[in-house]
Amino acid sequence: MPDVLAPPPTLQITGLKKSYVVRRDLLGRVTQRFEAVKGVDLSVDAGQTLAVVGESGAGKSTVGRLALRLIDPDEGDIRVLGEDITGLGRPALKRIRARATMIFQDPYKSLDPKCTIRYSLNEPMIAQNIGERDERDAKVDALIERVGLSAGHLDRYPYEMSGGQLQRVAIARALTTDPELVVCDEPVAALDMSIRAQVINLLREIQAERGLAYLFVTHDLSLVRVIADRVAVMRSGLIVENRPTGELFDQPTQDYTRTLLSAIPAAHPRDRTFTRRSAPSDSS
Amino acid sequence: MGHITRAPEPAAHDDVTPPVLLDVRGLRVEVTQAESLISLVDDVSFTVAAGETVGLVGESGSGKTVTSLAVMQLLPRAAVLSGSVRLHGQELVGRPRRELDRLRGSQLSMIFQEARRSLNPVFTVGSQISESIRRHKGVSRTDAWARTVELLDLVRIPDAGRRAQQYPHELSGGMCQRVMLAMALACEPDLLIADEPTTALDVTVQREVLSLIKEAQLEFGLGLLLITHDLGVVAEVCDRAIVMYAGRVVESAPVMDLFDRPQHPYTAGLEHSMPDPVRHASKLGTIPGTVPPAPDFTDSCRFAPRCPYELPECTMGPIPIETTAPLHDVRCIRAGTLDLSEAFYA
Amino acid sequence: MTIPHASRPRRGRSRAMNRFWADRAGVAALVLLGVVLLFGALSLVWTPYDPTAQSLADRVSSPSSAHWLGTDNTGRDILSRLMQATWTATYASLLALVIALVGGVGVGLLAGYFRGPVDRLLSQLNDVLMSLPPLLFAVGIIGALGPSLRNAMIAIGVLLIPRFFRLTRITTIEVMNEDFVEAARSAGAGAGRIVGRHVVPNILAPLTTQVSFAASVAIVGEASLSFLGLGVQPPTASWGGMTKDGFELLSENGWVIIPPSVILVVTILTLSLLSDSLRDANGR
Repeated sequence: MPDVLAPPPTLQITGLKKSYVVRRDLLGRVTQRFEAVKGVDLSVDAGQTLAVVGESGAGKSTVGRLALRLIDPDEGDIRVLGEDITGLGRPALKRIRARATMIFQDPYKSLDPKCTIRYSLNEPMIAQNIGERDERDAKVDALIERVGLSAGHLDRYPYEMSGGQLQRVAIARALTTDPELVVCDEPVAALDMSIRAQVINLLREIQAERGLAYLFVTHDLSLVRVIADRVAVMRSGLIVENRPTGELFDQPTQDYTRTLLSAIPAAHPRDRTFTRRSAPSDSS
Repeated sequence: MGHITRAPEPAAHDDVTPPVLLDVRGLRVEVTQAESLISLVDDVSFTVAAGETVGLVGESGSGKTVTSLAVMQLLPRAAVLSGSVRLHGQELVGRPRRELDRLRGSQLSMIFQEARRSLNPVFTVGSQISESIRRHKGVSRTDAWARTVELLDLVRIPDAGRRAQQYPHELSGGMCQRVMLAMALACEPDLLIADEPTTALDVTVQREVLSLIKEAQLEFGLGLLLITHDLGVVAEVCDRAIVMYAGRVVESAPVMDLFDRPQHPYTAGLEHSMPDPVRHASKLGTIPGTVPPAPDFTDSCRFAPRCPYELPECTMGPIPIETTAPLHDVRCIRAGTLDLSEAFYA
Repeated sequence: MTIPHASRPRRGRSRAMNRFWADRAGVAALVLLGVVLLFGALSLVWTPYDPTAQSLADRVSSPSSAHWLGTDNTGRDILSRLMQATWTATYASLLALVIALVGGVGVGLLAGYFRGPVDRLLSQLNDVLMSLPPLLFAVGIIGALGPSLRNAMIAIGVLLIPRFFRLTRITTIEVMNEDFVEAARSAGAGAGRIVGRHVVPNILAPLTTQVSFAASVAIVGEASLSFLGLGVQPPTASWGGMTKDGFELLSENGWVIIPPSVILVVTILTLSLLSDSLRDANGR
């Protein structure tokens, strides 16, 4: 029996759909659409991580952006912390932006190359009118240390720093407004292996400290085991399977899931296998 | 071409040793920066034999890409190259450009990371392959085209005849990677160098590309030098692995050995930063700190600042490479004396 | 992999600025341009002689200790006139540039930021402007409004608008597609902050190159129109007018034409060098 006093999930998505116009005829009428998301339900609780996995083109990044209404859905509901944000107007949506933030894949692209690190970290607070100058500075100082960098990095430009360092900055930036939900869009795909481990561990520590909910979008299934409580497998705009991590890895119910799992590279030579001829995954 | 279904053993070293194709010794690459010479890689030595797959593993700043470019003699003019790179016993360093051009493609071939960017967008993929065949083999246009379609078939591009007439932008990323492989194999080289061939590809496509490369190797008896930062790729397809850190080789061993008994702390750290579903399902090992940039390279151990096993001796002088077990070389004065099984797990 | 760059960058400076200051030719051009500007500005507070003071006794003389650059056909001191003319050229090109920038960049930002019907309308207006034949248009404006420096520069400014509009629009669209703009939006930043803090600094690079180029177009345009008698009206000094006077005196004295020609050529070359150097500094 559901506990009626339990807090609502941090993020709840129902029936989400999004398509893009591909072709119009001479009169401007739409003749072809690409359906990126065809009807997706998912939810994430506080302190939990839901990983959305799939190959490129599956629609997982689109789901991530829809969750924060960085793009608008065609159909469906998005509820953040119990509040329906699907139809919210601009000023109300802005409020939500403080409570739900995003970490992007490539830190060299998600940080303005013309802005200092200090500005990039301050911007969310300035945009949200949070705190006075000295309060913001104190927060920025605290956050930069928390992510393992030093105050000296604040006056630098992105080009002066490494990918791993910049992604830590991106994490700090996502935390400046004390959000409750963070959407992570392939946050470690662009990083080296040992740096990946550093960043993943940092994300987990911060989640434990703050009770954050993570929507973790990735194509790397091996990572998912380490970081996610639940996994939703996406294919061609639909969720194929959505289970707790352990169950999904030990007893996948869907063939597609099995295909993805078998494609994970071995962690040790004794586990290596050659593929039997699999169906070509690129058809164009 | 047959499909392999059984996992082949990593190449065992027996009495009938296959011929060494590539012999790199004492490779050193330097560039001038602000009036001084800084070294990007030094003291790099390794071999690749026919039929052998050697993985050159390293992260950003390790010098692996510079090494691979040095082997191919494709470094920019500003770089100073010393040491020896021998292909079939013939020295490549210092060879005139024209001779190198002849060798590249016919004996030594390379495929790169972003396949689409390495293909000329204004020519059809078929014409690019045929042109390469004609230049190295001097056959007629028709023969070259027939061979091109055969090769595209070999790399499992469906409807090869039609695809050969398409342009790179009409093909997906995975297909471009296969076209690039076909182009590399067109002139039947003896040695294939693959630079990060699977980075930025989906897992399933990655798998296919790797198995294709392996099958091509088995079919043609190629030596394969695979450059990667992904230990998973090494575990999957390599016979030997050479681990590079900050411009130097730190460990080199047959893969089984490398994963069972890594002897350099960095190797252990790298292995433990991969998710290990068996022993540590929810923990990742992390190496604190970052790779030093080239201008800051020291003569002594470059990993020392990040190493939990550091001793004063580590930073006192140059550390030579030593053979600590059959075919297992390590650059560490504490090699063999450390238990690295839980290294770098918090 | 990076082969380290030749010089070590100064901490805290953007990469393009580092490259610019490292280019000696560019810096020299900037300094020379500064000298020319100062030369002209000086005329506002002091000139050796009154630029309009005639002295028929001393007419058409070569350089002497009294008149460092000689005198023209009515005995006016060439050096003083040159200083005034330099200021005229500065003022004129600034006027044209302001019109071009407000009309081109300002409107281009709107088109690039809002896209949609706004963009379509503004682009079509720009196309109309672009299709007008330049010389006829300039002569037409001057014919309608009367010959004067101000009207001549209005014409030139309007003719420069399309190139600024197109450049601004396209670079704005590119920047708007960048991850860091999406990151700013996801933090709640509004249009003003995004355009002011992210778009403008990132489109400045190609714009400054265009500005240099447009300045030389404006200067040559002003000189040509003044040479034809359609721009600056006598007795105000201008490079074009002085060149015309010198031209008419060629049979009498070959010197008078030299000062205005030389300074004109030097300024255009300097602007050209500067624009090349800026373009190189900003290139990837």
